[in-house]
Amino acid sequence: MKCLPSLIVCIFLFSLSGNAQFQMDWNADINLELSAAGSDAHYGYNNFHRDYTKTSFDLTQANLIAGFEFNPSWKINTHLLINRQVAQRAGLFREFELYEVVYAKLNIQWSSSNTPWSIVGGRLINPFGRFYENQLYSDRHILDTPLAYSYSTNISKNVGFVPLLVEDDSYSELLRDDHPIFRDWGTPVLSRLGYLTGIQVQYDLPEKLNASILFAKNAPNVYVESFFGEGWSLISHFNYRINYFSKLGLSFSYSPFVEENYISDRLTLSDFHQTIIGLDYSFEYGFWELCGEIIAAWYSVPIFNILLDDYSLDGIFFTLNTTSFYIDLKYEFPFLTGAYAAYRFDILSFGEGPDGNGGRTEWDQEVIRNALSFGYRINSFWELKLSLADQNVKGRDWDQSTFRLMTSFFW
Amino acid sequence: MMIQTLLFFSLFLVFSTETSAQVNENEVFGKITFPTSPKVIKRGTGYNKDGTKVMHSNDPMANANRNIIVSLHPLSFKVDIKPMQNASITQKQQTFLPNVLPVTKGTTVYFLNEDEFFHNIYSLSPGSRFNIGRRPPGDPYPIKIKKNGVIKLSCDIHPHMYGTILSLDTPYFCRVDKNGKYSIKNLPDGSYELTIFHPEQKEISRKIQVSGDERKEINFDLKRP
Repeated sequence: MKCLPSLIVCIFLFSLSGNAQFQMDWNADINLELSAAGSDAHYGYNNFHRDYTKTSFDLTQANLIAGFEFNPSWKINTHLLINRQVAQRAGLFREFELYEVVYAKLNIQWSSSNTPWSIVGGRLINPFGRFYENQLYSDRHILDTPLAYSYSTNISKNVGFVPLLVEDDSYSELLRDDHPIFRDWGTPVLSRLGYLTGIQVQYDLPEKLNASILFAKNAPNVYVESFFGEGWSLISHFNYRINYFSKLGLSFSYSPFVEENYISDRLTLSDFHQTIIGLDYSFEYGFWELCGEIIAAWYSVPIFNILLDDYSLDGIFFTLNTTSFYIDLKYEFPFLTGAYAAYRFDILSFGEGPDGNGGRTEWDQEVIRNALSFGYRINSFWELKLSLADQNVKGRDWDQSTFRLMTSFFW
Repeated sequence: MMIQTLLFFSLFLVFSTETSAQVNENEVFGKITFPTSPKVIKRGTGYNKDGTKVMHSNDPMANANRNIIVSLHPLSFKVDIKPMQNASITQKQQTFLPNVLPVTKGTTVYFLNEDEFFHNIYSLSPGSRFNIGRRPPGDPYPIKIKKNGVIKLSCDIHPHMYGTILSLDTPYFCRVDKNGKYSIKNLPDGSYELTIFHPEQKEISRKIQVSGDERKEINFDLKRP
């Protein structure tokens, strides 16, 4: 696992030609944020730690992106970021240890102007859908991550389906701190960060069509700090430009997703798997932009009974499904260059599954989120964004509104 | 009354010869030696967020060395600046062509999209902020240039695209040819600030003086050490 960076450098050095001309280009940004959230905020629901709902100012993310090119065909891509840790919300210059340094990209890429084919291997960005291409906050009209990419469902990366996993805080009191689901807030349909390790083959006719297929040694719904996860995932994306103003994309993903350490002797890795299909689209014209995604996911999982502290097996594996849909509408003000307003409607709903007591019910609560954002690009290196969001979890009277004012600097 | 009129015209002639220079056939010419290799380490113009291939035009007007603009700014006299006609920038193969367009202040620049997909053009340069939105091919869009100086252009859809409008306070300017040669003719007598604009280098300036049908050769070497 730790040999990946060395391996990439070795392959790269091997690829060097005699008349190589080294070039490096770099970009960087830093994003600072003033934020607050409603009293019922929860990291698993809206990415706000409940201990940090009061107004605070902190560093959200900093990125350093660099490409190293020795000849026109071979290139190393790197993307290093400082990020708030997944389970924490740190404050600037206090609790700085809660930030993590992550390799979002560390890969070697081969491409040629003579062929539409290219290949890239190493740490890379998940090609699924259209959200992951907006890795930097400067690419996002709305600061919040769509529900499918952030809302923690009742699927544990360690044991599978656990009814009320996120909601029931008593679990943490019941369990020892080395228990597989101690402080487990479940997994989103797709991991919020989207970094995977694998090999990707791409067929690209610029501005016409793009097809990618990735074999990754991680599951797309589980974020792991290490480069490699447990099983091999297959992820593909096909993107087609229909006409001047619209694009359509189709995505597919199949992956086993649990941590092998926790699997019971009676189960195997393939007993826990996720299948996802996605449809993404965008329409752009003049000062308007409309884009969004529909994502449907199916899980094949056993149910974990927290009271028995074991699986309710009996040869039964459940298929659970979830569907999400979001649509973004953005308008740039022509009379105020650099300013825009954007709105997102986002919904995540769940099919029926076992309730853990012999009955059947929705296996998680439906969520609807509305978000409104305003942005202003002050100059080529400074931008301000204000984002307001409110979400409703079905059957709950929770205040999960958020306020975020971000200032970003680019180099 | 006749004496007053003659006096007025005499004074007018005296002052007008002081404020507008005598028209002569001065010429400034020379050769600019290009940088031979690109910068080894440079700040990117934007990262390729979706990992797809980007286009680059092979048109000479996309080459930085063909976008060196030589301009002479009068110091000892004033000159009338007139807007230019038919100034345009084309977006083709995800490239601004020409990469640098020199114009005089007040010129209307037409933006043309000759690709088969949408482009956008915006500028955040102080005093020249504009955004033409997403524009389909075949739809020229005019923007009047109201300030002097460097106006940087970007495309919101293709972050690697960049271009420049160089808005000048002088009619005396030219673009170097493919061999790096330049020539500016019909210069009135007087002193000037000669400026070399290269899209990837710092601007170079030098004060010069020409008079009496002079042909002055000034060469520059932009090679990196």
